[in-house]
Amino acid sequence: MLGCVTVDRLELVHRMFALAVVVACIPGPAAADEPAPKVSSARRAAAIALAVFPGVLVHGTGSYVVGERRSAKRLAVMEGAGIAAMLAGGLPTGISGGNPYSIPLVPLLTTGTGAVLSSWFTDIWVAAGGSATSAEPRARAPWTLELGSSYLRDAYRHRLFARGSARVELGRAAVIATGLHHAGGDAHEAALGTEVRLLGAPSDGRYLLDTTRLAVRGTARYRDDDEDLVSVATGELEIAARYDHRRIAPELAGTFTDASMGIARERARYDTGVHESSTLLLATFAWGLYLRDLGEVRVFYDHRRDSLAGGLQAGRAAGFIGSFGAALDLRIWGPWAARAELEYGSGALGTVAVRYQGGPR
Amino acid sequence: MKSALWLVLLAACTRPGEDRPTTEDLVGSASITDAQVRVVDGLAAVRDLSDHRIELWATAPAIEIEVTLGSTGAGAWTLIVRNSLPDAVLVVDGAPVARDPGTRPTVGQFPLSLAAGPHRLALAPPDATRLERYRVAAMADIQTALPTVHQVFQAINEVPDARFVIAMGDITQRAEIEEFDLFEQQLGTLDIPFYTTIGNHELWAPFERYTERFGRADFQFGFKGATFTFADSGDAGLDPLVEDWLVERLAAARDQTSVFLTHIPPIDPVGARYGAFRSSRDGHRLVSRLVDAGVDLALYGHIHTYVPYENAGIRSFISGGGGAEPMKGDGVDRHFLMVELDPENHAIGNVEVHRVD
Repeated sequence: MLGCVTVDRLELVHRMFALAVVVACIPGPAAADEPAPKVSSARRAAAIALAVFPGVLVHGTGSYVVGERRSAKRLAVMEGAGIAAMLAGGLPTGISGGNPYSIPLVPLLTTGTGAVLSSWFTDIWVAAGGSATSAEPRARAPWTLELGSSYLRDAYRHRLFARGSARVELGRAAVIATGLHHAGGDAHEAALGTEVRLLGAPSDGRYLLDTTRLAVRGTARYRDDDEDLVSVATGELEIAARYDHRRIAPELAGTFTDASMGIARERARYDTGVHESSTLLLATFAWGLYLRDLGEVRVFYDHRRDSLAGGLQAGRAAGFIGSFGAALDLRIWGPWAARAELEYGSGALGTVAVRYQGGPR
Repeated sequence: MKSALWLVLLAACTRPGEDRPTTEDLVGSASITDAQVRVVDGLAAVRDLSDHRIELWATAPAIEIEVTLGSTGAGAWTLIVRNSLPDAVLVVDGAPVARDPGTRPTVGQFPLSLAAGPHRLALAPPDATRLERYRVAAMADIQTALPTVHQVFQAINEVPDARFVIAMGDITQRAEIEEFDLFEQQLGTLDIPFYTTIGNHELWAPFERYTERFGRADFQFGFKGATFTFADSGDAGLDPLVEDWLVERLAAARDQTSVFLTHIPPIDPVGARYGAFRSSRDGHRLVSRLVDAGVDLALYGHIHTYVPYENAGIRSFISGGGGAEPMKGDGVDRHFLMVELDPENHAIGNVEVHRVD
């Protein structure tokens, strides 16, 4: 069952996301699908190679070679918009040497970087013939319960965590609770959040023509670490969006970009009783693929530095870069799904979990 | 392409600084046939141990040197200690040794007559153990301003009671040999010693390039009742080996006025900027150790501005005004700090900002 989201709402989502990534020049959805051009194996191989290089510089190269000229043009526009956002967000910070007044622009840098990488990855996907695969994404389930474990390996910690989370959506609001407990008992953390869906389909498990969505999230988080001799409470507010690439061109259906940005205030309390407060910038971006109606796979970047993964060691840029990761979410049988995730920053974090998805299927 | 490969290699491990503590454990020791030298706690780099000549680069105002000579090593020796206090006095096996008049106040040259066997040499100013107020200069982040850093050094020279300079790293931009040459040449314009740890910019080249010339990046010394502890945070974090060393040394300094220096702030006071440790969990972990050890003053660099603040109750300063591309719009530019130590009262006195431009 397709098309359960109204066109007006999707148009609004499209415009808001376009504004966020400074991609106002990206046109609306194409009027009609065009027949996919036939591509020989040799041309396909050349397209993939060219999508990698010089496609890394000129996004859309791979799509152009396989005859998807509309996609090629629009991916190039997306790249240009992303670069513009990167410059708008990054130059003030770089030129000013990190003046605090320039920091609110950093989410433009991360979102722009997300747009640039997304357009490149999507081009490679088109060049590889991804357009020919069918994607039948479904809305999230109305409620879910997940249990799993995470393993963290960083400079100080080799830890196995038990983890659990639950999400339930009622109307436009969802409540999300997450907990982690170190098997050795040295650390635990918990988070309770509310997400208000501003745009996009409700979590009813139905098939979607367009998975674009926009939400605002508020989260209270607490962690305690006996080895670190510190406990930290954090209050977060962020806006999160998913942009379905079908909105860019029909042949890009099945791929998407995620982006979020926000701010957090943390209060650390040390074992000696002293405490201090600090502000955190929250920003993420991701590129992903739907695996027919079975789930999705994503590669992502997370700018926050207070997560278990921390930030990547990056030479002269040490300290400024967050973590990268990949996640696979797969429905395995009936209401059961599995999640696997790898994240790499100052530490390596691996997660596997099993999820029960309640509600209609 | 090379940068991308380097990034991948860096990303491939969670302890990028794992080998550095082992490397710097070799600092301060050297031997040749019939002569061995060991600087206690590695507080000097042995630059030369050759035919009856020992040349050191000191990283503390007071150092102790153990020299062991065989029968063919006995005789007349020359000890040269660079980066030493102008009023430092050398005592060899309990007897003072006259200092040769040198060309630079920070270069101590001493003629020695040493018999075969072990000898203990101590170089320190007469007031090294006297508890009284004194001042030191503090700075960081010279980097591309090496050609003009003599202007900062000249401004420090004009502060009459500055005993020495303590620094929080990033003395070069890319750790090139030519940059280290220029740094040392510029130090020739400074009338007091310069004790520093490394920053992330010193890690653009093999660590040995720094240690063989300027000594350890993790070290601690005491002077007149205050303790200065330097730690290498060049990777935007501390290696666990450094943390173990740090916790032990800070605990030993608990009864003294304790100053902690490292390049990258564990927690950026402008948190959203993330000019700090790559994991804020590790940042909080370090701060908890500093709080636990009763550190009185924390000095950081990396961010090219001046920020006075409190870090979990610890008086803290970011001072990255050595001349590297300054933060725009902060109205600070090149500067250094003058820090007053008050060991009698287990306290830190005034911390003044001296602007150079």
